[in-house]
Amino acid sequence: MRPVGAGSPAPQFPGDVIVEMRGVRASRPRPPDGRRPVLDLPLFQVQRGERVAVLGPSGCGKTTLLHVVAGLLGVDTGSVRVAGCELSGLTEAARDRFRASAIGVVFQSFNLLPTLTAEENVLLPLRLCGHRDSARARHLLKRVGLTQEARAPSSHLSAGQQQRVAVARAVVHEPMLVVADEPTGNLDRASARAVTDLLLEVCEEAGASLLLVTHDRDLAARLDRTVMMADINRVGGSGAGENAS
Amino acid sequence: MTGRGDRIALMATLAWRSLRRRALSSAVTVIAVGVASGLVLAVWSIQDQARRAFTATPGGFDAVLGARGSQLQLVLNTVFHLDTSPGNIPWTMYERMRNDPRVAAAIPYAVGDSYASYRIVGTSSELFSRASLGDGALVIEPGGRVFGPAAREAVVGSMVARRASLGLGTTFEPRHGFGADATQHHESFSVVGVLKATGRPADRVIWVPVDAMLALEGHVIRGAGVEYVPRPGAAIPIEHKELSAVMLRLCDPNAGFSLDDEINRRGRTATLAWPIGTSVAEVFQKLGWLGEILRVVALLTVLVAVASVLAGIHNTLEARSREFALLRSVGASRGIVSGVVAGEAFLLGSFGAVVGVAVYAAIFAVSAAAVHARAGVILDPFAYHPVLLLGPVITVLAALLAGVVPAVAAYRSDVSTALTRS
Ligand SMILES: Nc1ncnc2c1ncn2[C@@H]1O[C@H](COP(=O)(O)OP(=O)(O)OP(=O)(O)O)[C@@H](O)[C@H]1O
Ligand SMILES: [Mg+2]
Repeated sequence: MRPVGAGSPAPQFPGDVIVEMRGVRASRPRPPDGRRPVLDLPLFQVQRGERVAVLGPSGCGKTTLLHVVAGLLGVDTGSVRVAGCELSGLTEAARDRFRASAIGVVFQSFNLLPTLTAEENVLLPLRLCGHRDSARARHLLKRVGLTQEARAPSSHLSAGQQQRVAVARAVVHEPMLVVADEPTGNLDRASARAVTDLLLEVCEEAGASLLLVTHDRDLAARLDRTVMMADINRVGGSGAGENAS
Repeated sequence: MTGRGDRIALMATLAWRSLRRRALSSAVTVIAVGVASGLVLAVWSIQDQARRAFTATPGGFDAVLGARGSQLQLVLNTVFHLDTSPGNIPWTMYERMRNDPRVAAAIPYAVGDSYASYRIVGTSSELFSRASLGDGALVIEPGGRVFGPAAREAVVGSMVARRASLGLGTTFEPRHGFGADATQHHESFSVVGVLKATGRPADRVIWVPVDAMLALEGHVIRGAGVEYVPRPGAAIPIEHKELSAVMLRLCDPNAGFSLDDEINRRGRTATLAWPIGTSVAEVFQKLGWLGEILRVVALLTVLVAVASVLAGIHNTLEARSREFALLRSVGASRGIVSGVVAGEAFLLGSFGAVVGVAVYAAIFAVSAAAVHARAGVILDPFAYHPVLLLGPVITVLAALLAGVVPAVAAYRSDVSTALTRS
């Protein structure tokens, strides 16, 4: 299977599995010079079009899991197959290109580049693959209710507005998968609800699967499936792996 | 690969916006780079130009004959009208030079008087004669004329006419000496001619007939070795007359060699400064260490400016690690992130280079005006010097080099770590 590169057509892959992790171990640096195991996943899968919520206590490796799936973090061993692409065999540069074409990301906060306007932030993934489809960016901003704010510096937007811009940006390049790390963790209930609604809607419209980390069980219940980290990760709980190395 | 141009445009946008966001710090850095760059241009180019302007033999003369002493002092005093006269020589030496077959033209100079801080030089009308001096001859503006042989008349340089308000038909009373010690003469001279601007020291001089100057009340002359006080209205006997110097135009280079041998090596009473340009070039050689210091100082400011580019960008990296990680998370490579950082250094260097040219122009204008006012020598603002092209290019490259350090740091930062650090 060839790696997915910028500008290449949508990847073809057999079956309906969009994420498949087998025997994955991942670790984080532990000062001063050791490494702390964070993930040990015998098997984890997300189906095409599926919307999966990931729940678990703080420090159990939810963010780390998302980073591995998005190709932001390499693994120590095991296979990470995302959208038909084996990430563990890719160079970091290839993973960057893969992410640019196949993955959308939303974080908890500080999602936007402060020197760019809302519209420019939404356009970023397109420009990184060499497109400059402003019409699509504006359409998505309208979709998330921010037509007025398109030209505003992103630092002038409220937290809820910034998350909505991030949602628009996550799907602007029609990725196969959107990963969201507590996207509503910083918002009040009403804004959280609005952002969640938008995220689910635009992912559906873009045909993207969704892997969402949250502490909010109500939110998780709105997705197709909920995964407890403790059930899939053999390195469990906070302070994970203190005696596993 | 498609979209490379767009990615470069993206990097440029991000770099520019980032500089604009910290406008004050960026402006200070640009000014530091600009001043350093301008200093380098100025030190290299102005020094070189000054040497060329001063050593280009002015006035069509090849040599100067004056009192026994320093050739340089003689040249400074007669060609550049600076410094004090080393002493006097008897008029008979002038006569001898005039009749020497090796000498094409000999012009007497008598100095020592001034008006409004401008020097008065007693000379002969031959100074204005193309027949004698060719292109070196001074040209009088239409409407004016040469002074009479012994009349109290003057032809004034263009700068004197302008700055001392000595237009055609005006009169002035010379002072004996210069500056505060000068005493007032009570004879009045009238201006009968104004010179066309030459861009040479002659612009700063008031020219009068040498005989009228020698005859001024209060002058004591010793051409014959004894003191002689001129009597009003009476011609001075030739043996009593004396001069500060005789300007010479020689027939050929051999004439210079043989006169040099005769006057400097075998003679004891006078000095021949020949060739004129060599004496001036010696000054620049002697002042070479000063130029070295200036160059070192200029390069040190470049070092400081480059360091400020480096530190200025590097200081922001910590605060921007989240932004860089965000860029990475939407698919930007390490190369793009470090490209943004290097782009900032490039922009700072480029704006600095532009400011540098302006700084250079300002330094040039000030120093050219100073050189013109003090020495009457004009520096050409458009004269080409390689540093004028190389300087800005090197400025940009140096800034870019300084940007390598933060660019590498940005390149090496780990995206996942930066994203998890809140
Ligand atoms: N950049 C890092 N460097 C070193 N260790 C890290 C880093 N980020 C996370 N860790 C460690 O890895 C483990 C898993 O962290 P992770 O961020 O994946 O947890 P999480 O489930 O997302 O927690 P939370 O709910 O608080 O966001 C934790 O023990 C944490 O201390
Ligand atoms: Mg987390």
